[in-house]
Amino acid sequence: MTENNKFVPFKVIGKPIEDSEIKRPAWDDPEVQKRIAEKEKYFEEHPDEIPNL
Amino acid sequence: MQEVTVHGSHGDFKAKRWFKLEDVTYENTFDTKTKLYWGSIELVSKNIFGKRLTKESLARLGGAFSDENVSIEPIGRDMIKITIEGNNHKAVRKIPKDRDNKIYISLDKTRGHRIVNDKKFGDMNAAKGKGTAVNSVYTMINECQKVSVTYLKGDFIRTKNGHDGYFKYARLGFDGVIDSKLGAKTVQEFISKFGLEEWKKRGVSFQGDFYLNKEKNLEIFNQCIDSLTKERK
Repeated sequence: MTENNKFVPFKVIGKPIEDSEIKRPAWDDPEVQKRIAEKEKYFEEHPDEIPNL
Repeated sequence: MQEVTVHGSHGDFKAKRWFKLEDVTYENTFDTKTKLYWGSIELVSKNIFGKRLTKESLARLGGAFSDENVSIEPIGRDMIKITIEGNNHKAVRKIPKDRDNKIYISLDKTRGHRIVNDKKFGDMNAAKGKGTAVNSVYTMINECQKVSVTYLKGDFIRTKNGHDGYFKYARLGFDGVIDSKLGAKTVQEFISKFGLEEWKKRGVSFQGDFYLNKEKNLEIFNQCIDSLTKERK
């Protein structure tokens, strides 16, 4: 993970972004809800698989 | 050195080549037989990043660290797909641009990230606690800072079977909107109010993002790495 076991903290490069500039769908956006529900179902049915890694 | 295999080609953009991360540079693996394939990667890489990236750089953007096998495929002319197999997992990343022309890395557009069918790492529990996600995200962020990637994005899932992406990635600083009935509007707001342990108990699956130019994201990530490094010494 780190070279010589030393971790150099990351710093923001360039202009920092504000929260208001981040576009996100609402938590109950139907498309997101549907997709996440499908993934939950899929991974519950396939316990040996790992999402996200 | 890992044997290089070229899988079947379906037109210009479907060829696949595996390589060991530490063995390659763009230049020394170029050969005339795969000219079309690497030419395509080069084209897509230029379309997305405005410059040619090395395969190693692309692999690291996908989160590959040493001893992993990597495949890089162009998808159309504006997206690169990176598949990583190694250690105890298989991961698929995609690098497209969003509607605002910002480059991002999708951590799980493709579902079904199989772990490698290996006796040693044959089940999910074997992969747990090995720092794979942390190492992978660390590698990605490190490389993202060298090129013009703006953010990482993915769906982080919680299941009854113990899939804990919702916790693991929240701990690393990923944020996303949640039902305000939980007591906060976003994941990180929840953690600030109630703590990480409470998120572990009450947290839910979420669509999350990690902005490379958001101070809070990096601050949380840095703290997480720092504490994990101390924990695992």
